[in-house]
Amino acid sequence: MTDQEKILELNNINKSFQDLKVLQNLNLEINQGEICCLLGPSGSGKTTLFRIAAGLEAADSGQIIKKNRPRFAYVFQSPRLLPWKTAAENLIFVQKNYGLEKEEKLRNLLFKLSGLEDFKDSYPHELSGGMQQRLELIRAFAVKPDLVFLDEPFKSLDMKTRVNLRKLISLIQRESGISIFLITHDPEEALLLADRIYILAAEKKGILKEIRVEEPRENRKLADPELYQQLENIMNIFTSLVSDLDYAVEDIRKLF
Amino acid sequence: MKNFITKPFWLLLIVIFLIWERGAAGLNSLILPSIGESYQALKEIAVSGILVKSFIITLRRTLIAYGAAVLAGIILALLLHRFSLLQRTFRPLITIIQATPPVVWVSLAVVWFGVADDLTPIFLIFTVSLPVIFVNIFQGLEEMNTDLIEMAKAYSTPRLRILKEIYLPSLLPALVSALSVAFAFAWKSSVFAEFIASSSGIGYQLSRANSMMATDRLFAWTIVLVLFMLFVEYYLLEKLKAHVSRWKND
Repeated sequence: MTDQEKILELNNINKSFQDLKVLQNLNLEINQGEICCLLGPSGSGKTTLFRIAAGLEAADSGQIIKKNRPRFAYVFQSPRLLPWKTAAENLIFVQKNYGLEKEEKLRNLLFKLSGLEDFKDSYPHELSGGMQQRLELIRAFAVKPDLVFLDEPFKSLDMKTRVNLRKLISLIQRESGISIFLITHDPEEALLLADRIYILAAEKKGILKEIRVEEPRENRKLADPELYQQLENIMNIFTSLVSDLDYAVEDIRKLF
Repeated sequence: MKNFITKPFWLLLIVIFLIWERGAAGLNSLILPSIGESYQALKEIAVSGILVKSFIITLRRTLIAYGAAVLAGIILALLLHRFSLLQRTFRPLITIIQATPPVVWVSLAVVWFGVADDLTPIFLIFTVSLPVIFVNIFQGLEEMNTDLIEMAKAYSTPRLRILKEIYLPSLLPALVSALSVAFAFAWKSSVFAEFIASSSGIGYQLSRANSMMATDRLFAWTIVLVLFMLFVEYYLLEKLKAHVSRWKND
């Protein structure tokens, strides 16, 4: 590892649900000021790991080390907005916990950046799905966090909203130095945003590989040969995990 | 009030009045008094002061018992939601109370308290309203969105703010619905208990009119009861409902 300061470190994490072991001796670290991505297919334990790292769930064993009592913020897979509060009130609700409720300029900036400046006084049900997700995202940044946990924030969004949000996260992260821990199942998403990618696989019950993306984030295009090669590598890793179905050929022929 | 004053309803009311008037024309006023006779009886009880006096007595009893039932129902729901042992112990008891016919409670109240002016109606209203409040609030608590609570905890929200800003607003729709249903129960139970075992209140006046075969007075008191219930349901509770669900997509 480089001499970058670690903000969060997970050592030898184990987690089972009844008899099902999900994570086994897992090690992971998030450095100050980076976008660290956890990439894995469905069922690989991404959300479990996310919840353990974020302190929302306890591990069966292992150690979680936080440096300098960092302030965490969260962007959940589906927006968790208070339906009886307006967009601005939703931000103030979390800001109050850190004495930041008077930071109106910050709120205004976030509303402007996310294109929600005309919807400050709207209730969540008056916003589209994409707008709600944007509100969920800026709520996280409204508490001036040290580390933001993003759990598949783009999952159910259209292409344009995805690009917009990616741009927004990238800009705020670059200029503020806030660390980000992003969970996704989409290799492209990971390659376009992350400085470092952990590949999680159910088969290993832990990290399969760690990839560093050196290219400056602003210039990244999937068509770039280097990035494309990395995408290919990731795809190969996932393909190698898919089980062989040849054994069923005879049965399929017979039974159909 | 908007829901109440709709054109079809007024048309229906006119039809009912026409049928009433037409029916009354062919029948003895002991069986069915006309609209005019009922109005006259209403005027009489209003002028004599019995209307206001009896109304206040019934309303006071209803509000005391209803208020106590609301408070007890909420506390009980919170306790049973929080402690599963309490839930397993007392939940069936609430169902038993709910399943027991009101006439049993009144009979028991007469045995226990005698023909006590206040105690019997208050006991019945409380016993009938409590399960309604409890069931609604308990269900609201069980169906509460725990994701929001997790979010609030994740953002280090103090417990008291979670209670005030998440639990309470989440429960308000269930509470208003409970208040609405329970008030109808309370109001009717109050009159029922007074009818059987009291010497004051609207129920008692109904019982007197009944024994005196004053059917016009029976109608007059019924009009008072129904009008008040409509006022509560379509004005007070409607306003409350609109207020608590202003953030909803209706």
